[in-house]
Amino acid sequence: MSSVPETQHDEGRHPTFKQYAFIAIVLFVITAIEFLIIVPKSLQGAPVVLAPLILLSAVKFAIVIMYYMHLRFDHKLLSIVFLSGLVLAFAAFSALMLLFSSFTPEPRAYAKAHAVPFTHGAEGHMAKADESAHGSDSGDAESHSVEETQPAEQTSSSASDGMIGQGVFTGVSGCAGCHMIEGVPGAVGQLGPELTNIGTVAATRIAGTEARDYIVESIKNPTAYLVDGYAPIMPAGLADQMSDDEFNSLVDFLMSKQ
Amino acid sequence: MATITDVLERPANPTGLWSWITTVDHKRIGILYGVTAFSFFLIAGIEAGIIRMQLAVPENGLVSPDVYNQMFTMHATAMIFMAIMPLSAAFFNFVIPLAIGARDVAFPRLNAFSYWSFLFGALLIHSSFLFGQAPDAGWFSYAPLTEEPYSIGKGIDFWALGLQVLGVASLAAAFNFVVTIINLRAPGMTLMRMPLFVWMTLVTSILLVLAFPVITVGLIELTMDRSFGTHFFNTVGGGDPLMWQHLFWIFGHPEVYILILPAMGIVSEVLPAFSRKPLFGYPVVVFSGIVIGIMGWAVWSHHMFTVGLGPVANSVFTITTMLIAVPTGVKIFNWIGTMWGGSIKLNTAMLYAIGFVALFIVGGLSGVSHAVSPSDAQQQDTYYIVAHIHYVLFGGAIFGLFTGIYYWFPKVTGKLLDETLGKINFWLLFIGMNITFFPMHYLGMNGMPRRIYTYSTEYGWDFLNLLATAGYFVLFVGMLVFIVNVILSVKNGKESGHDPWDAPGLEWTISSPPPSYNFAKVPQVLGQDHYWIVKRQAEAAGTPIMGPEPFVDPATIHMPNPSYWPIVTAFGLLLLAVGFLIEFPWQYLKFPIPIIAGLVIFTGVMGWSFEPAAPEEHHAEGDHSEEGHH
Amino acid sequence: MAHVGGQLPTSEVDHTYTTTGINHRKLLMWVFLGSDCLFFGSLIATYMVYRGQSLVGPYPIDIIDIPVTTISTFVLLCSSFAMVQALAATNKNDQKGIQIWLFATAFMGAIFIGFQIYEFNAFRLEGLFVWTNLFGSTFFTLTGFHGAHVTLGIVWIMVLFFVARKGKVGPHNALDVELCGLYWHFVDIVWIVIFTLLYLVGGFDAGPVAGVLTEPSLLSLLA
Repeated sequence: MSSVPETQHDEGRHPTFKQYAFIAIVLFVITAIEFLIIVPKSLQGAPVVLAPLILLSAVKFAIVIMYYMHLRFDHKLLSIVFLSGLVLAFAAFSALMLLFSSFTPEPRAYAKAHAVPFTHGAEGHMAKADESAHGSDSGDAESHSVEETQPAEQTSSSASDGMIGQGVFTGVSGCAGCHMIEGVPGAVGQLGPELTNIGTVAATRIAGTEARDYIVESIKNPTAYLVDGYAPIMPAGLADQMSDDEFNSLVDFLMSKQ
Repeated sequence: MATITDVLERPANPTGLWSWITTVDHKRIGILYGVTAFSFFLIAGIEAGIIRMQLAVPENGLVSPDVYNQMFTMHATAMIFMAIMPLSAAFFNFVIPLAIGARDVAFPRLNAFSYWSFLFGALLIHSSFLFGQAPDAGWFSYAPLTEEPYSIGKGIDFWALGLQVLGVASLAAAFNFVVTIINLRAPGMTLMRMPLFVWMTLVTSILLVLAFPVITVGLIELTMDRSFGTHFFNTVGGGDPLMWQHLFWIFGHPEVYILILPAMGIVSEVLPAFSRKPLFGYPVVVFSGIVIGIMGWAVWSHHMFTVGLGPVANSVFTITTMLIAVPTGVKIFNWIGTMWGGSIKLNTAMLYAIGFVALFIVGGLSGVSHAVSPSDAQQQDTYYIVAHIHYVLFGGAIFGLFTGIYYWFPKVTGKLLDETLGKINFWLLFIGMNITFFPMHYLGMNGMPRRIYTYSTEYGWDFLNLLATAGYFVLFVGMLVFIVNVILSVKNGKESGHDPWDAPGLEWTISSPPPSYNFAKVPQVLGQDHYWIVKRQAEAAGTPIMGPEPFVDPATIHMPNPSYWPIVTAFGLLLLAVGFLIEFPWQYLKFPIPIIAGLVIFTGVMGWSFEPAAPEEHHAEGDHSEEGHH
Repeated sequence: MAHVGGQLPTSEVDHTYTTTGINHRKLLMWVFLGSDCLFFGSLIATYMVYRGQSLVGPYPIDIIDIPVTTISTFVLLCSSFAMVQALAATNKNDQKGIQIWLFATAFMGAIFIGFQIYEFNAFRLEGLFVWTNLFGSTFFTLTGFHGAHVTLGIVWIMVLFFVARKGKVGPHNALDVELCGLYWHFVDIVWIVIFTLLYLVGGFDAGPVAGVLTEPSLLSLLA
């Protein structure tokens, strides 16, 4: 049913244009203050600004709700209804963050062990090899401590191809979940044979079969060349999930693992 | 937008199938929900039968392990989302407007949209069987099992996308009932005079609108992991499988209260009716329901006691879970108090209500034993949990819903269900339920894990499994008796009259079945148990009430008109889900489908917003344009 | 507007009767917004839980551009002001004002989306996709769904605009404008939360750089 004008006028005075403009200015000023707070380098990402920033944004939040959304002047029930959702969301997700110890952005064990630095630029997204190994887990039992020095080798003839191929490998097809490749973040699976040197190994596996053909066949027809000690569980049809370009990049990438 | 309204005029007096497709009448939508939900209940029951027959003897090979996984996944998913919830919705739809003295819900077309979305979502998930790719990772689909490379194929996608569609249906319905119950109560019906079923529906609907968005996000993130290469829930990219569990159970625990509160509401009305006494401690029962709804948000990690959250988290959730047993226990005492000293009429509805209380106590007790995290560490993922689930959901929710069926069937159809068949039905289900599920407590304590395909005889589980399977057949026969009862009673049942039970609710003041307009005159509610007050006063005055509210000519009463747009919009939603699922050899062929779906939804919403209120209404120039009647 | 009597003759039943006096659709919108808090809350929680857990870059500090996003935040705040003016114009039956302010709101919303597209593209060029790392996944999902909400809002406002062009928006259906406004302001306040958490706070998260995990840098102040 359409509105009945009386209900709105009954609910209290409407703010005037001036008042609304004033509120808008307040919101702008608060936003400007928030921006200025994080200009000084020493305050960027510092814990001490967390409280002021959250407080300021909470004030903006409240102002928009109470005045622009008129909740201050409306029936109390609407406030109850909305605040129930808001408070619940806040409570449940604070609990969640508590459970994950997320109140600081400290990387947890896995990220600490495996995260790779980033550089801008044409070499792509692999770290430079001479970026010092990140300090945390030098003596990690997992054999991934050398991975920081590996990435440079992955910039093969065409850096972008290597990128796409590696992206396919660690992406939705799930290769990385079963096959380990040293130096490739996330390639930690042990359900299938390790592929760290597959570029060389593939040539030696079947007499008369070229490395590239071996790799191509193994993806398209996983039960063709089984490896002792591994269950024949590699899914068929993985090649159908990607374009021809992606497939070729993937094979190039694997071939580059000498 | 004159052009849009001209394209498809509002249907005028549709008949037959068309009248069902365009209906916005809550009573018809309730019947649609009821019939559809019961059909899926039977399908899920067959899946249960396959599970039980596979487990009847050790080392069995009735079905393959893959099919078995699909069976237990679909059984649970269908029972929860496509049987219990929509059966509850059937009652919300049919009963709530009548119980509060309204002519319909607040948003009749949204109501129709809820039903059609539910139907399409349920059909979508079940269509996975046609492709041999039903979901098979359990009804809570833990990551990373549900992710590639462990779940290749479309099963999990059917599950995720189907649940999204069902979620929209549930959300739409819940929004509708929150507004209806708050805003459409007849004059004099204050909150503390509302029937208990209305109260529990309000709490359930609030839980629904707050809980479903959480699983929506979980499902989105799962779908993105599967289709877009993200790593929200697997460690390959730094993600954490526990995040899925948290998001799922933050939804999942309120969900179980969504499943049980409506049944508790039904029982809270039927027990007084057949004890001839008002509900004992009405305010306390209401507040317990509210408290359960609120506390239900604080207990979710009791589903995760064995994942390694640590002693602090485990202790916190142990305490909160034990605390939530208190309001539940309070209700049970109030139900017993209601019957105490009452003049009990042991008809089928009453038997089911009492059966509910008894079986829910058993299920509640096993639940309390799970609450304690050290003992849960023994019970988790065993058949002890399966026993608990079925005592609270079968002995609880289903028995409560059957209570409602026997109680309100006369109001819906104007006929009584046969009492003899009804009692046979009840006893078969009650006995069968105990034979099937009680042994599972022992099986669980003896170490039988959940979801196993088969077992070896050396564990000593053979006899109890066979017994449980025998119980299934008792249930099967009981259900057959029920179906026969319904069919016979609809055809030849005894006329019920408007008030066969001498019950207190507003719905009994009008004819059975009710007229299309429900109430000719808006009732003025005198108190809790309004109709009892009215009837007893009338009797005392020497003029007892003999019949329903007199009929009036429906043409004099403005009712919401039928509409096409709800089913069109729901269909667009289905198309959107299909667009994400469908596989074409050339991947670019599938993009048009979501786009077309978006256009269908947009058209549906536009038509919905701009259609005239009534078929014969035409817009003259300068006439106001209704942005929409909802 | 609750009515007092009990037994009314049918022809006089009040079509706008509500038990509380609140219009049905207004109540619905607020319940919906309460529910949407849980939706965005879950997405934000996912972001917060996964802060610092990405395995490869780009990390936030490498690409988050606070100055540019501050501008788009201002634009969105401005659009809320415009929306409020549109409602005020509707209540005063200022037909020209209704159209101007509705269009202005949609226009500024579109500019905000434009900024989002620019930003998504800039990230893409640096190699951040939704699948690259957890930062990409959580960032794009959260801001993507927010952007989708904004886009739907723009469509809604433009529909109202075209209806207003026909002179069919006025005090009698001001509720329709108000409801659209409630949705629009909500989308704005969600952005306030996102801007604070993902940019002002989380925008300085760095990956492993020479062993120091949160090394601040001036990079974020350059475009």
